[in-house]
Amino acid sequence: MIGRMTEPGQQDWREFEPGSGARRRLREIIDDDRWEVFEKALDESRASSKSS
Amino acid sequence: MVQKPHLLALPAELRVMIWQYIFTDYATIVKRPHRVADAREDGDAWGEDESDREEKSPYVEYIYQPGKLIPVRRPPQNVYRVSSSNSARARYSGHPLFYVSRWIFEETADIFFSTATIDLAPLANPFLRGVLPPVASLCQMLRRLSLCYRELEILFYYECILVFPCVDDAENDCVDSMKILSLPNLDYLEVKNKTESQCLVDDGSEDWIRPRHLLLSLINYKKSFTCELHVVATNGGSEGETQFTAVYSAGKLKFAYPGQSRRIWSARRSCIKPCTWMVERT
Repeated sequence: MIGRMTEPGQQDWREFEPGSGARRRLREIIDDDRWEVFEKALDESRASSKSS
Repeated sequence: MVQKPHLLALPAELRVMIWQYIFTDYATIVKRPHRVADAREDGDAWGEDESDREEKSPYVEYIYQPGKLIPVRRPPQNVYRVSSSNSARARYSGHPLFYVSRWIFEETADIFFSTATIDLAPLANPFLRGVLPPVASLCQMLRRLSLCYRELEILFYYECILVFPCVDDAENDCVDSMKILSLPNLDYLEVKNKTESQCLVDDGSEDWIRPRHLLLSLINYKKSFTCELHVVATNGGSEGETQFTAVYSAGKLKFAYPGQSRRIWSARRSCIKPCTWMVERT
């Protein structure tokens, strides 16, 4: 039976700074022509997580 | 060798972004001209042949295993209806439409489990757009994901919603029905008291069916019916029992909950076992 269990440790948004390995990994899964939009959303989420 | 990170370790918001990216891609891909509305013009019921139905069937769940999507259940093939415009809707008389309002995915891996729902807001209006599942595209996307992140077993499915031809002031009925049928917790039914109506359910080889599939099958085959469902649900420590009656007539499906509650349906994930089910011809 599937149930809510422990999730792995969450990565911090700071790990997704420009040039970071985590961001490069994301870059690999997003299409070239969509990366710009995705990256913008990513940075907005990072910024809002900092401010909150 | 550097171990691939776990997708579930990404911040939750980022995971949702990724899924949205995937499903937005879907929405883009499926934005095709619909033949359904056109077909109305010449009196063809749906304007699609069997192969089209096969491709579009919305009642398919998939489990992603490395490199491939595996359908885990084949629901009725002939209940898929997509409306793409208000005009198509207006031409309906007595038949429900189905549309996909959202995708639900579950990520499971070892001891991890999470679930999330992506609401496809632009697609939420069934009269604007229908949705077709480009499985190959999704598979490709998941394959790319699995190259960068640790393999996940991803079970995802999309909710199919009944939309009724609400001419006049029947809008409220429509909303009620949609809410009920869109609950993902209507899980499995075990058919114990078999009747001839069981043959209406396509997965006759299985003991477990989904109540909504049962209802949709019935709707597809019958002009009217009354279906009484008595179910027992288990959800971890909590268990419940309830019953409801679904009455389908004149293109509308209505539910009545005698006695207690709908709480059984609000359980996050229920394993629902029916004690009995019965269908009366009306």
